[in-house]
Parts: sequence; structure tokens; C-alpha cells
Amino acid sequence: MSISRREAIILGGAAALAAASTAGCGRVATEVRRRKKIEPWREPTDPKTTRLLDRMTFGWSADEEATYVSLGHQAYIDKQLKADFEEPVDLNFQLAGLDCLRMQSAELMDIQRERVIFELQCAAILRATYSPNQLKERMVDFWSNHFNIYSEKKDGAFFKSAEEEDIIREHALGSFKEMATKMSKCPAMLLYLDNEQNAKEHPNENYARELLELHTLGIYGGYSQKDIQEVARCLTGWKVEDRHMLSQKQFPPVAQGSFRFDAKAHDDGMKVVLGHTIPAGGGIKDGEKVLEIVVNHPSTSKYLAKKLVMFFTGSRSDSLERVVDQAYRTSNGNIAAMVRPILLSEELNTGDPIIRRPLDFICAALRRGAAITDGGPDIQRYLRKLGQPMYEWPMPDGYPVDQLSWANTILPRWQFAYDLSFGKIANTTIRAEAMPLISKIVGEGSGLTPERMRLLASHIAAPQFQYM
Amino acid sequence: MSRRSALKLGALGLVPWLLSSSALSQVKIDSKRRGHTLVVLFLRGGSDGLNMLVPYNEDAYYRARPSLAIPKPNDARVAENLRGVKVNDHFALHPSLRPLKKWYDQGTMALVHAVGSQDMTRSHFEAMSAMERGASNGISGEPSGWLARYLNKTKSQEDTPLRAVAWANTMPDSLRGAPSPMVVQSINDFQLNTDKDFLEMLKDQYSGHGSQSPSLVHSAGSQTLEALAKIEKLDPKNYKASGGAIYPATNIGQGFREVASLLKSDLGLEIACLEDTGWDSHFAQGGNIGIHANNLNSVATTVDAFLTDLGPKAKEITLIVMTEFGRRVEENASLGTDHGRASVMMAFGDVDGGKIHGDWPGLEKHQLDSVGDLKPVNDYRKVLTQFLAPKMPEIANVWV
Repeated sequence: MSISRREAIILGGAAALAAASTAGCGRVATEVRRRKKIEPWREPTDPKTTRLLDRMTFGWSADEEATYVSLGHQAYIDKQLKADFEEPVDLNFQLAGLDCLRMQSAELMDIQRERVIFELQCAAILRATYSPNQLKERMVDFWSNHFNIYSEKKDGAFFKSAEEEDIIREHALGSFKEMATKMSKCPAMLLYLDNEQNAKEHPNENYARELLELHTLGIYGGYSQKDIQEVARCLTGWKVEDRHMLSQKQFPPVAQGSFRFDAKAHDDGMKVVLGHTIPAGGGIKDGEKVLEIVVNHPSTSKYLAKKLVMFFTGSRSDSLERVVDQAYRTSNGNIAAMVRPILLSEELNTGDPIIRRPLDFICAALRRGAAITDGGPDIQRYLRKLGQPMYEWPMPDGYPVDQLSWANTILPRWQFAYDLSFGKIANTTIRAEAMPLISKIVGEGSGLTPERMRLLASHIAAPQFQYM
Repeated sequence: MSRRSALKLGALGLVPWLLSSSALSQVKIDSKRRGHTLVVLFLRGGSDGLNMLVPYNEDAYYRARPSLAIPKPNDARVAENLRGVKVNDHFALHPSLRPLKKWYDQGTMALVHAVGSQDMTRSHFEAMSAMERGASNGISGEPSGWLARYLNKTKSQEDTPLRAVAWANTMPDSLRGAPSPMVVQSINDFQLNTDKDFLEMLKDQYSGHGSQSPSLVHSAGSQTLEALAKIEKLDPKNYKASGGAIYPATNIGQGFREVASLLKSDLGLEIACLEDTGWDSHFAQGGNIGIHANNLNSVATTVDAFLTDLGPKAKEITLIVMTEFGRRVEENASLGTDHGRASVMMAFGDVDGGKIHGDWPGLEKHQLDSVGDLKPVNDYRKVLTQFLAPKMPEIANVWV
């Protein structure tokens, strides 16, 4: 009896979890990578290039630098801003094996939560490590944390995938306005920040507050508690459809798990939001007007400019933030337009070192060692040990970026460095060519020896590798 | 070129900014620790507060619990060691808690009755969720833990890798969202499975480099190496508790011994979370003997050993023993008790001890809530703030 692919996933359980990564698609990818020509181990030589690549990508590698050099500074940056590189066949094969990325939320609910998160996390690691569109992947990481969703709360896990694929990945270097607006109707967000409970009789301000404080204006953006309450009123009735189609008594019916405007729960009175009067009787337009107001608010572009400048340069810079703020306003909220001046700035070189979060660190190590990985359960275990299991940060502010929050998990990083280099991580290997040489004499010490492994391990465990 | 110099040239030579940046503070290895540690023991399942601290002068208690009630301190029909241990004219401790009486008399132990949250569901999940998140009830949307918020508010350069440690299989919700909390089954999990040569390389890389100011990661690394060395020596078989203290061979016994050994090793432990399960006594709970009594005995002997072992260092800790809810006043048909709301909280260390704090709502029918439960008139957040604020002022601001 043959069972469908989908049934196999549902029945799969733990065995499938592990097998997913080594099944057909994974084996092809591994073989392709094993045969790919790679640059042999070398140290980064030019601090400026190293800094640029460390900040634009998930970690400097000799291969990335070769690409940079062949294209030239400006062209490389432009291509990254456009996310114009062709995705390699091996990565596509691996991603093709992760069905959860393409399934509807309602379908995903039949699958074990752990399996869904496993596949999302697998995709994140693989893309961050292997996608040539590195800047896009860095921005996906940035926005995913900016619009943080805790997948363990309610059914977040099942909605996270669509949110990540359709909203974040779609607009990571594109329109912030579109991203924020779509996010307001995204079931994952409505569930996480409780807006699906926001109704006229019992308003819930959680999403309204975070929309202003974390997503758009920022905490110093000049909104009041009254504004939050008024925004909450505008967003009453913005829910997730939880009824079956047959009981919806409307045509056309709305799919379960998608956005639904419940007019009966909506507070239809007049509201005043950030000085704008929203007349009574607006229905769903009230909330839509709020999104329009906040994405166009002057504080929003300032707040985003500050965050982006900090993310790439590691420091504040009034002048650069002004440029980025201006770029938002002249480009109608285009993210690539905001990021470009940062990448071309002097502040990128002079800014403080930025600590690598666990995902950054692990992917930087994988890239540095030209590792071949399946992004599977074993390597994901390290991501958890290091403190950044993806989509599990409970608060809406996203995983912290400051040193203090991460410096004290140095021990598991050392363990990872050693285990990676000594081949102790299942389905994750480093080729001999990618290991540091012990001797300057060509040919000598070129085999896979413990000494070379140890040298690689100490390089990854080093204090300076913890920073970008 | 030697391996060592190859490492130095390659790694450090090209990133001078890392070592000289003024934005990275200078951190001394032997920095001052905060001088106080909070230890939280969570009794999961709902420990029966009415039998922990017995209102022995109230008839209502004995009417409600013909089988489970604890005998009065002066009940001559019962062996003395099986009677309640008199605390005052109103309350007595469960006989299994006798080892803690001397701490109470010394002023090292404080008690509060009728402690609970505003959660009305009587669901383990909801009530624990409320308490671990510092919320009033279980449906609060707040996903981070109360201890996590405290740790975030007070994080500093002086923090060590062992600032917050939980002895559990999974991260307790109270620590969810904290910066770098550790979750261990034993502190010996804090180890490096590598080789001697690699460890030597780490020591080279992470030692302070003379006049150059080390980065935060440098100092975290040094502290980690120091902690590794100390913890290696803390082999349970070799640990000698002070004052003749003997820890029971239970999970919490071993956990507390590790907490004590960490405290004595000055490794910067500020928050320790431990838990004990098996407190959901629906069935055959037992009174002065039985399941609940054994559980209480385990806690009492553990805490007694812990405080004895710490000796004068007990002034540097606050130990809180809490549970998500108490149990129904009336015993049930299975000689157990059903879920209630209010229970007892115990606090040890540098606390206002030797007394029972808070209000007592009473056990008469009109004083109980509509279901027949003791009313949680002492909100757990107020009680925790009362005990912890003197040493941890920020705790007043973590509640949601």
C-alpha cells in the first residue's frame, strides 16, 4: 500500500525527523558540495573587506571574498542589495526536501509541532550558510527578530512558516510598509500578541502596544498610552478564522487559519490615533488606516534607521542615521535603499565589534570551514545549547543583540568548535582542503590530522571569532 | 613557525580594534559579586498548605479532615514525634517539618499562609504558568519568566556564566527569556569534552593579555575556564559538607548540595532554581504519615542540611519554597485532597524570620471561597517582593 508524501510526514515521527535530512534530496546536495571546488584555507588579509563581508554575510569565507573580488566592491554590494545571485542547485535540493515550508497552516496542524519547527530551523541554517544572497538572509534574520513571534505560544508554530516565507522573506530587502502592513493581518502575529482576542467588549492592547513600541515608532517615538488604547480599538475584530467553512454562513468562505475581520467584535466608534481623527463606522478600514499612519510616521523611519545602523555598524551615528532616515522617506520605505548607504559608509569600518549570536556564530563557523551540513537534528542541538533555538524567544523584542546577553554562553561555543572540527557532529563535515595548514611546505601536513582539526577548532573558539 | 605563534599572528594580528576598543570595558577577573543568591524550590503539583502549617485551634480543620488532619501539639493519644510542632497558639508545623523548627526559632525561617495567585482555574498548568511568569493568572499573555525579567533588568559586566542555574530537565518558565541561563541535571554537566591540547590553546587565547583591555568575551572565557577547573573539583563524592550536614540521596538533596558547593566556590551564582515533583496528592495523601509526609520530610531534611552546610553563609541567601496552589479544605473520598488555591510559602536565609507573615482568612464556610477553598489573601507577588526586595530591589518591578 502506498501512502502519500504528506501521510508519510505525518506518520513519520522521530525517525522521519532524522531521515528527512539524509533522504534523497540531502544525499544529492552532499555529493554536489563534496565535489565543488573550494578555496583552500587562508587567513583574511584585508580588514576592510573582512569587516564588510562579516557584516553583510553570515561570515567571511575565502570563497565569498573571491566572489567579492571578481565582481568588484560596488557591483557586489548592488547584487546583494537586489538579492540577485542564483541559488545553487544543492541548496535548492535540500530545501525541496522540507515540505513544511510549502504547506498551508491548516495542513501543518496535522503534523507534530516539533517537526514543523525542525524544518523551519533547518531551512534557516541552510539558507544562512549556503545561499549566495547573504545580505537577504541577514535581513531575514533581522526582520524575523524585529517582528518576533514565539512559536511555542498557542499555535504559533503552525503559522510561523507562512509568515516567514510570505511576509519576511518576500519583503526582507523590499518594502517595509508592505511587510508591516501584512504583518498586522498575519495569523501568527495575531495569535502571538493576542490580537485575535481583541474585541469591543474586552479590548486587548498587546499587539497595539508592540506595533508602536517595537515594530514602528519605537519606544521614544512620541505616542501616548491613549494612542495605544485607540489603536487597540481600531484593531478590534482582527482575528484568525477558527470556524469550519460550513459554519461560516458566508460566501465565499474564508479558509480556517487565515485572517478574518469580525465586524461584530469591532469597536466602530470614532478614534483619534497620533493626532489623526478616524471617523466612526470605518470597519476594517480603521485598522488599515492605523497601519498607514504608523508606517509613514517620522519616528518610524528614525527608529528603523537607528536599528539598522546599529545592526550593521555596531554603533550609533547621528549623521548616518539621518541619511538612512532620509532614504526611507524618499524611497517610500524601501529597505534596500536604507541599507545601501550603511554598507558604503565609513562607520561600517569604524564601528564597534558586534558579538555573533549563536546562529551567526554557527553559520560563520560552517562557512569558514566550507562545511557540508544537512542542517539537521544534530547541528540544531548546538543551536539550542548555545541559547538561540529559533522562533523560541518568548518576548516580542526578538533575540538580544548585546554582548552581555551572549558572552556567558562561551562554553558550549568551545564545545561546538571542537565537535565541528573533529567531525563529531552527525551529517556535518569539513573537507581536508578547508582546514588550516600546519606547515608552510606544500604537501606536508595536508591530510586530515588531529593537529589541523585542533587548529581549526581553536580558530573558531577564539575570542575574536565570537565577534564580527 | 610554532603552532602557538601561528595562532597569535593569524588570529590577533589583524584585528587590533578588538583589543583596543574603548567601547569594550575593562573587566577584572576577580570582580565583585553581588553578595546574595536567591534559591527557589518549586514544589510542583500543589502542596497541601493546610497540613504544612496546621491551624490546630480551629475545629473547622478537624471537621473537614477526619482522616488527614494533623494531631494537635498536645494530643497525648499520639506519639510526640507524630503530632504537630507548635509554632504559636494558632498554628503548628507538620511533624515532618520538625527539622526546620530550629531555623524558625533562630529567625532564619519565615512562614506565610494563604499564599496564591489570582488564577481561578485550579489547573496545574495555568497556576504554574501564572507563578512562573509573575502574572496574576494563567491566561496572561506574558511569555517571559519573572526571574528572567529580573536578570535582564540587572545584567552587568560582572555576571559570570553561572549567574542563573536551573537544576531541571527543561528550562523552567521562570527563566524563559533570561540572558544565558544554564539548565543542568547536575553541575557536572558544566564541562568540556575535548582534549588536553585544545584546553591549553583555550587557556592561551583567553588569558588576560597584560595592559590591553580584554573584551567581554575574553573575561567571560577566563571566568569559564576558572569555573571549569573549580567544578571539576566539586565531585560529589569528594564534597565535604560543613557542620555534619547530610544531604538525602534524592534529586533535590543532590541539587541543594551542588548549590551549596557552588556558593562556597564563589562562582557568581545569583539565582538557583530547583524543583520537586509528586505533590499532587489526590489519593491517599496521608496525614502525619504517608505520601505528603514523606515529601515534606524530604524537603525538610534537604533544607536543614543546606542551611547547616552553609553555616554563616546562610545570611547571603534567600531560599523560597513555593507551590502553584494548595488543596481543598475538605478531604476527598480517596483520602486525599483536590486542587485548591492557597498554600504555604516558606522563606529562609536573611529574612524576617521566626514569624508567620500575612493575613489568615479563616476556615469557616463563609470565609472560604465559593468552591470551598482557603482564600489566597496573600498574593504571591506581594509576598515575594516583601522577602526579596531588601537584597534584590528590582524584584518589585518584575510583576506583570
